[in-house]
Parts: sequence; structure tokens; C-alpha cells
Amino acid sequence: MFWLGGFQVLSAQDGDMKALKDTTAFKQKLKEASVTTNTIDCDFTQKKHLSFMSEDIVTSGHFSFKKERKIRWEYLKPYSYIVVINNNDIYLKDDEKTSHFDANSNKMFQGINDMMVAVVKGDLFSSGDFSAKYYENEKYYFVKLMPTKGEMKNYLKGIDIYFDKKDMTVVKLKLTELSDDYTFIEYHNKTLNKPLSDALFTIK
Amino acid sequence: MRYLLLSSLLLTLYCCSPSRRSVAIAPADKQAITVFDDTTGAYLYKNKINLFGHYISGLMMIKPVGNNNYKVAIATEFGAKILDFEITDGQFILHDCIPEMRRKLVLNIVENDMKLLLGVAQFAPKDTSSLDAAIQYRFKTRPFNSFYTVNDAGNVTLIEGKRLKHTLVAIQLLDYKGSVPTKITLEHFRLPVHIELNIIKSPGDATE
Repeated sequence: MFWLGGFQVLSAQDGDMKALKDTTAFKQKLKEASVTTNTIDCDFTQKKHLSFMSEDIVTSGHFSFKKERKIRWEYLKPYSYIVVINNNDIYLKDDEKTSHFDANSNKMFQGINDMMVAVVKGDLFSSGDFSAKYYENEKYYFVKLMPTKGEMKNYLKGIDIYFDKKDMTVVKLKLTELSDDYTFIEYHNKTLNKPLSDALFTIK
Repeated sequence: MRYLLLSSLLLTLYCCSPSRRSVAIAPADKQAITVFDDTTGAYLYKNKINLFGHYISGLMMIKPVGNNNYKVAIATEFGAKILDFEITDGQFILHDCIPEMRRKLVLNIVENDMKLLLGVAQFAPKDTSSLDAAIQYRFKTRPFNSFYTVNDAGNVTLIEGKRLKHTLVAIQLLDYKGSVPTKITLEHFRLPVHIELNIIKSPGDATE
């Protein structure tokens, strides 16, 4: 479904979230999962909510991650757009136009690179750039992040991350802007530790 | 290839530069020419923006809210909003803008270009001219006069911002599907600014 109306970010099953008591155990679980997870391969659906629009903008695509710092983020519908992060190389492919950047050459690219990798690996809240509140229900751990540093505070009000309790991978992500408009991403059809070719993480 | 495309566009625009042949009386109540007039939803375009050597791609949402007023947002493919503004009663009201875009020159370009594209002329047309099968409406506006060329199907095909006889900005509205231009190109002739918009969704489209 490309165009949806009245999308609700918090489903009924999220309503029973309660404060997480043992955050140390949670962080330890996450650390262990990141050691055993070498690749992640899944589909994603992204919904952009703008207050003045009655319907959210829905896009979808495919996501791949390979340890340590390789990410391929590919939008397939309703347009083609690919972002590849391969250590310090960032590649963008917009239709026929391909761009390449060295993350080290630009502070902003370095920030984007670090943030995307941290989101995937689930260690965003250990960076010190955010304050965190921890919750859980039967299915998910839920971490609510609020930026504490100036630069990030110019863009974001908060980041909500949902972790699947079964494998500790990120299943839902919500980035809320200062205006309360937000981007919500859900990951589906996830496969862990499937062999992924290095060729997937370059664009020529 | 890009330069070939650009050269072709420039050539096309200059060759098509209107020469007034005969003047018709403008409808007395015509205050603006509108392209985006369906208030039942939003127009969603994929954008490619070349701005002073910087390439920005992403999405542009245009939401007509009636009475020739509009809400507009530009976001990256990832959904991060770059710019959020409205044009109400001819006034440009900025709601949100990333710090990198918060430059007077950039915001002036956005304001003037979007007012031109959205057809928010505030003055009655000075005159109209017939151009073969098309009619050109001329509005006295600031910072340049606006010229809207409308084809015999009633669709706007070319919008120009002119000062004296010089075209400063030209917007081509191409490949109409019904009343919606599926491709829009915007070219500045004195600034390194080029924008291309390709339709993703318009209010009349069925939900998938």
C-alpha cells in the first residue's frame, strides 16, 4: 500500500509498555546479539507523516547490513534510490546519477555514517549524544532517545527504537522532528546471518 | 549527457521565447493562473535540485488548501524534512528549515520560484497575447513580471519570470496527465540553479 491515511504509529500492542527496570541486562543482551549477528537482510516500509497532509507518504525497499560497517539501503517503491555505506565510503544512486563521498571529508557525512551504523547496531543510546528512557512489553524493548547535543537538537526532537526481544534486532524506528512531523520505519521479512556478497555494498 | 540536455533545454526555451503577436483583452477577474488546484489531496514529486553546485534529491509535497493558498514541504528520500513553508494570501511563511538552507539568497530563490510555479500573482494581468494555439497571460508582479503560457487544452506549459525583455527564470510544465504536469523543469538563467520534478502521486490518483 503506497498511500495510507491516518496511520497510527503506536499499535494496540504497544499500549502496555512499562518502564524497564534492568537496563544493564538489556544492554548486555544487545551487546551479545551484536557479536553473533554478522548480517541482516530485510525489507522495510517507511511512512513520512507531515501535519498538513491527510495521508502519509509511504515508501518501501530493501535493507542489508554486513559487519562491521556495511549498509545498503535501497528504496524500490515508488522510486529508485540507493544509499550504500561501506566503512568510510558513502555512495548514493539516484536514478542514473551516482555520487561517492568520503565520510571523513565532511563532518556531516561522518555524522550520518556513524548514526546509520549505530541505529542498525542498536548502540545509538551509548554514544552520549542522547539521553535515554527504557521500556518493555511482551514483544519489544523500547528505547526513547532525546538528543542532548546542540547539532542534533537542531534537527530532531527524539528517536524511538523498538527491539525484537527474540533476536534483539531493530524492528521499528520513529524519528520525530522539532515540528512533530515524523518518519516511521518498519522492518519485515528479516533474515540474520545470511551470506551477503561484498559486491552488494559498492555502486559503480 | 547532462550538458547536452541542458543545452537542448536552453535552446528550446530561447527558441520558444514568446514574441507578442496580438494582444487580447484579459478577463477582468483573472488574478492568477493556477496549476495545482485540487484541494482534495497533495501533489507529490520526486525532485532533483542543482543549487550553486550542490545536488539535492528528495521529495516535494504541494498541498493546495484553497483560495490560491498552498502548503509545501521538501524532504530527503529518508524522510528528513529540509524545508516547510506555506504561501497564504501571497505571503511566503517559513515554518521549518534546516540550518544549511537558512540563507537569505536561498530562501528568496525558493520564495520567488514557488510563487511563480504556484501562480500566486497578486495583480491583475496587464495584457494577454496570442501565440499560435497558446495564450500568454502577463502579470505585473515582483521581483519580476510573470508570463504564463496556456495551451488550447487549458494547461500551463511555460512560466517565465522576466525583467524588461530578459528571461530570468523559465519553468516548463511537461507531459500532462489530465490537468497534472508529470514533469516540471525550472531553470535560472543568471544563477546556477536547475530543478527537475517528476510526479509520484497526485490527488486524483487511486490508492494502490
